[in-house]
Amino acid sequence: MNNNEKSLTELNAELKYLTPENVQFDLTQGGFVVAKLQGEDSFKRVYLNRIFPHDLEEEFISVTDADSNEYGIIRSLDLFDERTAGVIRHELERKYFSAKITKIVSLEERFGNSVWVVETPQGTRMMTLKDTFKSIIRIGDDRAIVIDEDANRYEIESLSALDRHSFRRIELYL
Amino acid sequence: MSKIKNINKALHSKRNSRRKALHSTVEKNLVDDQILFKFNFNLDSENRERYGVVAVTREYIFRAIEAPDGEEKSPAVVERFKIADHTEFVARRNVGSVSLEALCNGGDAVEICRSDMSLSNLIIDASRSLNSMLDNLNDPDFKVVFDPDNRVCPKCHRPLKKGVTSCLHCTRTGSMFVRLFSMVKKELPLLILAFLFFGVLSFVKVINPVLQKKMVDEYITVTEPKDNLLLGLVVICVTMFVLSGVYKVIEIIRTNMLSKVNNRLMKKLRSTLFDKIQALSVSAISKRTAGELIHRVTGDTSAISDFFVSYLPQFVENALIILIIGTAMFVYDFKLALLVLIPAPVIMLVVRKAWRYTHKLYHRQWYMESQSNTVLHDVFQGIRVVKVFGMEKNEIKRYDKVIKKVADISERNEITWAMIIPYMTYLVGVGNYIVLAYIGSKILGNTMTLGDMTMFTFFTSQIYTSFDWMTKLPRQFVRMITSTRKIFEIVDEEIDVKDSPDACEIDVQGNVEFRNVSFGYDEAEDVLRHISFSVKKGEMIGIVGRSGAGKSTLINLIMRLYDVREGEILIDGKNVKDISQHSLRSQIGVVLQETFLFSGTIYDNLSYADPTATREEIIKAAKMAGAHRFIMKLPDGYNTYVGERGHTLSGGERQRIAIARAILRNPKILILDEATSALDTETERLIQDSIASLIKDRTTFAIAHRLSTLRNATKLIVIDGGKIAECGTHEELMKKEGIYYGLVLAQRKMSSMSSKE
Ligand SMILES: Nc1ncnc2c1ncn2[C@@H]1O[C@H](COP(=O)(O)OP(=O)(O)OP(=O)(O)O)[C@@H](O)[C@H]1O
Ligand SMILES: [Mg+2]
Repeated sequence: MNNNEKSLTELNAELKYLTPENVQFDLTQGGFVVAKLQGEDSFKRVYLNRIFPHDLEEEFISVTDADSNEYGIIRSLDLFDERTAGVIRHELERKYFSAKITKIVSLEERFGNSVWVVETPQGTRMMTLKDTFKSIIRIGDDRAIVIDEDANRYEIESLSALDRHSFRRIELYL
Repeated sequence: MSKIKNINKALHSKRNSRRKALHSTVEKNLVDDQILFKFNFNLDSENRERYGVVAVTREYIFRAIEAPDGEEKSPAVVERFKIADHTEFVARRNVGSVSLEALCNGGDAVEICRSDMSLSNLIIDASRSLNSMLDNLNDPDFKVVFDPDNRVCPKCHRPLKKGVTSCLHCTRTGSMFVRLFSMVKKELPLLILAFLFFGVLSFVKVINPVLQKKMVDEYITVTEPKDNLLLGLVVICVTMFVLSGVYKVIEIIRTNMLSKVNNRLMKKLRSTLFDKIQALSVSAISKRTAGELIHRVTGDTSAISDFFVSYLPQFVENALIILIIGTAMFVYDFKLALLVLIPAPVIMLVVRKAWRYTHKLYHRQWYMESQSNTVLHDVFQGIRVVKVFGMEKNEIKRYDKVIKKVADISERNEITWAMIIPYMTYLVGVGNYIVLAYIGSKILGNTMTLGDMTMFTFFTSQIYTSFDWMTKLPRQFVRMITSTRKIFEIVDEEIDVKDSPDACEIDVQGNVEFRNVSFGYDEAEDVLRHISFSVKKGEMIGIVGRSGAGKSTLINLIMRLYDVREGEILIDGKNVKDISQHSLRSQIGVVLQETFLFSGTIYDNLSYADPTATREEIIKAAKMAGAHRFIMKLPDGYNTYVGERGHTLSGGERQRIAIARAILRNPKILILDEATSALDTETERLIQDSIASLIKDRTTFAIAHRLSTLRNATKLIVIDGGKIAECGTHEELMKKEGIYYGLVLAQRKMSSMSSKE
């Protein structure tokens, strides 16, 4: 019994939140995020990961070292001053990359795969999905993430905002 | 398809010209260095699309990247990094992109380049090559290797995926069809014979109305009596009777023939596929889900077979009918034929359009149905978890939700068809009425007979039925071709772990050596790095490490379930890649971490390890593994049926069966991955003793979290962070007070705590 209790409390370990009071973030010359934790006297490189990457972009950010040991969690970027929040946001945007789909130009089935031509702010892209249904992840009612066979990510921010033709093309897979 | 092809071409040529410019810019900037290797990238550090190229010379990394404004005219920016100024090159895996970072001495780093995932392998390989250059900075003769897998399809220039030999986008339906035919060519004579029968059948179908016409015109509607009226009538009736008899007989023969072809085809396709899947490596197989593979073997093969034995012959039949009747009608009455045939294309067009739409709907319905099956599968398989967590209600809700979706979509499907079909019947009906009106007027004008009318109405309905059938063909064809492609995808897959041509059979002695082995399941991340150690015949090696450290991975490599990425594994001084896989594995006995029992009896499961084992041997092995006792408690003894995954046995019982299996194998190398983890210490000790006698003269690799299990080990290897962190005997490692020491202490503390209770 004793034994069990012990391991449970260990599992229950309080989430350690990083707040402006106990951590300072900065950028190195090379453009990487470093942090100085309370009680330490130097900045060291940290890595930022969204804990709920699909639906919370600026909340629950896990801060770790290179070996995935967690220093703590940022509950929300709002807690930090503008500059720091900017630094963190910038780093997150560098880490999580998905091109936004603004228009679906063409979508064709080919031997059970599907070939898409889409417009993104970066220009026209062509991608192939191995299993169309499984490659489209719905988030809530209106958003979707599309993952192609290379593991590139695309995002449709609002399905309802797509033009009629684009929506008709994707509709049947939703 | 041509639209997509054009877009692809345009994109490709644009890419090419942008890259060409970059390459020439880089070359201009080199002084007189020689480029060792170079590669493209396509993002800047802010994930904006900016093309660039990296060229590596002996001392420097040159990077050219397009100007940030995206204007192709403005000159590219070139920067230079000195290799020796950096301590390590890291391919950093982001989400949706990969970047190459150069770590600097002071702890900072610079990002050299970044790509989306389509070029990720270039960055990963480059980081390896650059690191090898760093390691050999002082060796002027060092030759760097940079050989990424960058095969592209020669036609459309898209990169070819790993293990794939043909490009998805350039596969020709026709060539695939030809290949399929050559695969089934043994069955072709029979198939062609069946086609001939179909020809005969369609001919009979056409003859019938002609006879009817003759009957009506010459014997029923005659005005002046003839002498042999009755006789003629009888002759025609008998002919028709015989013909329909012949029709039935041919139909029976044809059906038999086709089912024979069907069986053979299916057997051929399935065994080809199954053999290939068996030959594939574990990693190639685990890329796909079990459900997908099952679908390949069962669903896709029967789709192909269906096409050959049902759709293709019917196509022949209907095509012949259209041809014969069409010609007959044209010969008989040109105008009438036109009247019949004109609505046909309209109908076909409407149906095609409808199919286009409903095809997708059906696809979606099919997907939803498979989803609902997945839910069922999940719930039944995990019924214990569902009950334990009291989630029955939620599961019911989940299932309801899925089946509601299925119902919705199938309703939509049906409504669509319900709306289309009346229109089509109407169209066909209109066609019929026009024909009737035309014939009627002709009959009134005495240029046509009542018999003609019978014949033509029959022809009309027959030809419409055939047209209607024809419209279904494209869909079936697409289905068949899709299945074919999916099957060929597997058949064509390169076997990545394969026997080298001069692979030999060896008599394993049991010396094992790892030389600088690195391996990762994933290109980007190595699970094991630079592992070197050697084991002599008869030694017992304990492998220790945190969960997820790579212990099971290490033994997977010994069995060559995967090939190492770097370095080599030697058994008795011979590289495992040069030993035939069968010879290697047949001399290794394993108890895997997850015990898998096949559905079958306990006896079946035991003799799986050695089908030639006698009953005595099997009992002996079970006794040594401590399994005999519990097996004998079961009323059916060794004949007890252990169902799917052996769920009727406890975890420890299953483990003991697995141990008995390994013992039966009588291997030279024994691998025990957590083989006794589910056993109580008492039982474990008993089995340990028999294992101890078993492992005499055998090389044994044992993985255990319960460190006392490894007390007999000659040597312990501690894996941490993908490397061998410590290595030595129990005493040596305890003295060292390192990781192992910490683990032992922690376990002692735990066990003393639980014993205090
Ligand atoms: N088939 C696989 N594909 C991809 N990654 C895998 C695969 N098998 C294992 N891994 C990963 O490789 C790492 C090492 O796994 P491995 O099974 O070797 O660990 P282990 O030391 O045996 O752990 P445990 O003590 O829990 O059994 C883990 O991070 C795991 O997630
Ligand atoms: Mg393991």
